[in-house]
Amino acid sequence: MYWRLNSSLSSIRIKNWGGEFTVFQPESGKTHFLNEMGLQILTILDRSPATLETICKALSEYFSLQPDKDFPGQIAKTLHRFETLGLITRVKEHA
Amino acid sequence: MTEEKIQGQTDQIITAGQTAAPQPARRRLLKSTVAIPVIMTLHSGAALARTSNLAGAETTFEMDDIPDEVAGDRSDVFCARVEEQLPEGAYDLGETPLFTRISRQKDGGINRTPQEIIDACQQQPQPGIILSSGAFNSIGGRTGWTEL
Amino acid sequence: MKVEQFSLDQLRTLLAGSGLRVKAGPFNLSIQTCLPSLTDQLYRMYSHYSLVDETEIAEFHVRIIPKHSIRRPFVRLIQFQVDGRAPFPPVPVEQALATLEWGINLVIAMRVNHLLLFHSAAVERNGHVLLLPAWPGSGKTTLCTALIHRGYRLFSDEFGLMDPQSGEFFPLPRLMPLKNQSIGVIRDYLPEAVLGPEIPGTLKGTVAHVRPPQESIERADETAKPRWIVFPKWSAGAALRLESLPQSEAFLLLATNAFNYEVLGETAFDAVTSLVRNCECRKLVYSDFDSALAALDELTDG
Repeated sequence: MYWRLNSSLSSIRIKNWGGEFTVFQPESGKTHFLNEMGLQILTILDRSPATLETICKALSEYFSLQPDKDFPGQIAKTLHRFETLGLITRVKEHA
Repeated sequence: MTEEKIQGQTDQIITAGQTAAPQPARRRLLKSTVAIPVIMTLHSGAALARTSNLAGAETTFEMDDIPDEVAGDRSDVFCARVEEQLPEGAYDLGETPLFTRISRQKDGGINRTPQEIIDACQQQPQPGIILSSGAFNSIGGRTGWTEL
Repeated sequence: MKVEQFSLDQLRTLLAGSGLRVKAGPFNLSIQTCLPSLTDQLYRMYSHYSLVDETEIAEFHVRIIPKHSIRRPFVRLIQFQVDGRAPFPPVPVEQALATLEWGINLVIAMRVNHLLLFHSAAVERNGHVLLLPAWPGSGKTTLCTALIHRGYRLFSDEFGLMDPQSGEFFPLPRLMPLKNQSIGVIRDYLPEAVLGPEIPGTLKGTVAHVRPPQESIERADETAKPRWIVFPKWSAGAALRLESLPQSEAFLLLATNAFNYEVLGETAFDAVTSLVRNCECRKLVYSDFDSALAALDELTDG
């Protein structure tokens, strides 16, 4: 199971507030507030579709984390949230 | 997405595979102890919804006191779920008001009597108060509802 | 021509006939009523407002009309109408002025979308706007009343009206409704303030309106750019605190505080971003006017 960004990050308006981000999503007209990890998930998927495992690994490396057992679950929750917002989609296979 | 575009959009450089941000910025996330992603979606218009909600509406009508909006107006009315009644008698419809439209006419094209309108509102799964279409229009645009 | 230049009889004729058409900041209002008590109150409280030329369009046509109850024939009721529609139920005639003012506020909040509308007080000092967004416990109207009698020009106690393209704020100086204990507080602190009648029994308790200073009304065409955003909070007995507020938090609070943020979409996103980036953002905790005013004076002198 892969996750992919529905449209390029370049189509989303992003403003940096010292490491926190406001994001305007033109398709829905909604504004979101992300921390750095939230945005980094989108950045990872903007490069290429990825599995939950890959995303967790990339985040751990980027933020120099030692993730605990709850980490994948938290990332999965966020991915589902992004999916609800129409930012990302699940795909069975990565083309 | 090119590095330039990312840079143009965010004031801080975040590039594929590595960060050009200095180490202190990278560690900021950890210092804030928020080692999980955070996403919040903004819901505006709540201010107006509250302002509008405190404008008030009548819950019960004596037959002779029914305002034109119920008895005389051809417009449908709306049953609004009440979250709480405030001390001054106003009604708070909450952050996400729920409305049920009550048609002015029953099946067969017969007009509902004012009492039938009141009963229809009270029989909802979550009974509430009756709003005229005018009041609904005042609130509806700010709560995701559109005029029907 | 101003309302005060009419006789009471002339005003009565206007209100009962084609309507009193007055300038309210960037908008023109038409007000109609046959109610003698309301006419008297408007004669006093609207005295400094300028009339609009007959050739100009009035954006809002509002009326206060009598309503009758068959069941309670001796209870005198009135109702607010705008363009023939009544958003509120009838209320006792004594609440006419309060209902008129709230009704006009509601109409502005619902209909104006060429400007970004913040639920906020706005005052001007030294050529720039100080925004005081509303949030629970802010006491913004009471604080605003104090400010405008101490050197600040009133833009509005209710709406921050911003042109999303230019970032300019527009004045909309209107009657300011004090509620309950605030009425006595302002009477004590500002004996020079002109207050309308105390109106008990409204949905917000007892209300009395403050008439804006004449200068604020006369300068209602003078826009200004914002420079400070201060989120005030009154707290009994609290020591004064004026602290920096992270801009990200200010963005979030302001955007959720804007009546028509979602309507304006990306324009609003850019406008609020620009607003916050160009302003000093603070939160203010206060318990007395003197120290709050001193702190805000120092901030706006800088």
